[in-house]
Amino acid sequence: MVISTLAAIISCLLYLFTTRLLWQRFKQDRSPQSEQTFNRSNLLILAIAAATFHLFSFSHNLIIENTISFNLGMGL
Amino acid sequence: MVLLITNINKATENLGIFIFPMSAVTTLAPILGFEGHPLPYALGSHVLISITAYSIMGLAAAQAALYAVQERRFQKRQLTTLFKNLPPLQVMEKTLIQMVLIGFIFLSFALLSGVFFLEDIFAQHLVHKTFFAILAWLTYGLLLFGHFRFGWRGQKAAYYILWAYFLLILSYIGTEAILILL
Repeated sequence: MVISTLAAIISCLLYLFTTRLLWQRFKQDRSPQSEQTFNRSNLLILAIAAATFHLFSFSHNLIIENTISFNLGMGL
Repeated sequence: MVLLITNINKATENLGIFIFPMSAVTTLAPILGFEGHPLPYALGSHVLISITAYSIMGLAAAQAALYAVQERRFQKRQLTTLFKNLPPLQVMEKTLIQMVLIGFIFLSFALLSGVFFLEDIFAQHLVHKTFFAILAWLTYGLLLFGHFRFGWRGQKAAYYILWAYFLLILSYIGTEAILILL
């Protein structure tokens, strides 16, 4: 329970941070120099990390004693 | 996850400006303490596949709306900062079709797996759900056929996707509403 809550919070923060990075990129001008300063792979790594933590946050609750237990509020 | 998959061979990460905040909200849902409904493996798998199909088609519908607006604004030369930063129209279209294709596969499996749990369609109150889900499946199928065979794209493709998703929503929410009314 504690681990899944922690994973959910980390995932949420990572998603928000990724959104902030994207928003900063949107506000920059589209000149080649600004494109170079923006590191695309960093953004992707952050997004993958967020998705992984997101998966951790609900995966252990998914299968409980021969049943699949979920609803839309589980973060799916 | 779908966004990351579509990002493999083309730069679509800017679409994350809409998806990441939504994901951030959904991650916090388990903390709010929603209780899950335990289902046997077989039925649970069917529901899980269906939810996946609904989610992917939901994303596709949102992107179709965005694509339609982006195309219209592009023609009128009224692109704002947001639309200027979205992927080019060609990439948007490619991503959209890929998403519909993935969703269509999941929807097909959802419909096929649903057949195994069908005992009495009338007694189980599944007529509306089945009817609208099949209608949505046919609309998506028609769009994919039209796209690959006749090159349907642009506003036409976007409207097909939005109508198909409306039917898909009707198959779920419509059924719930009808059952409550009856």
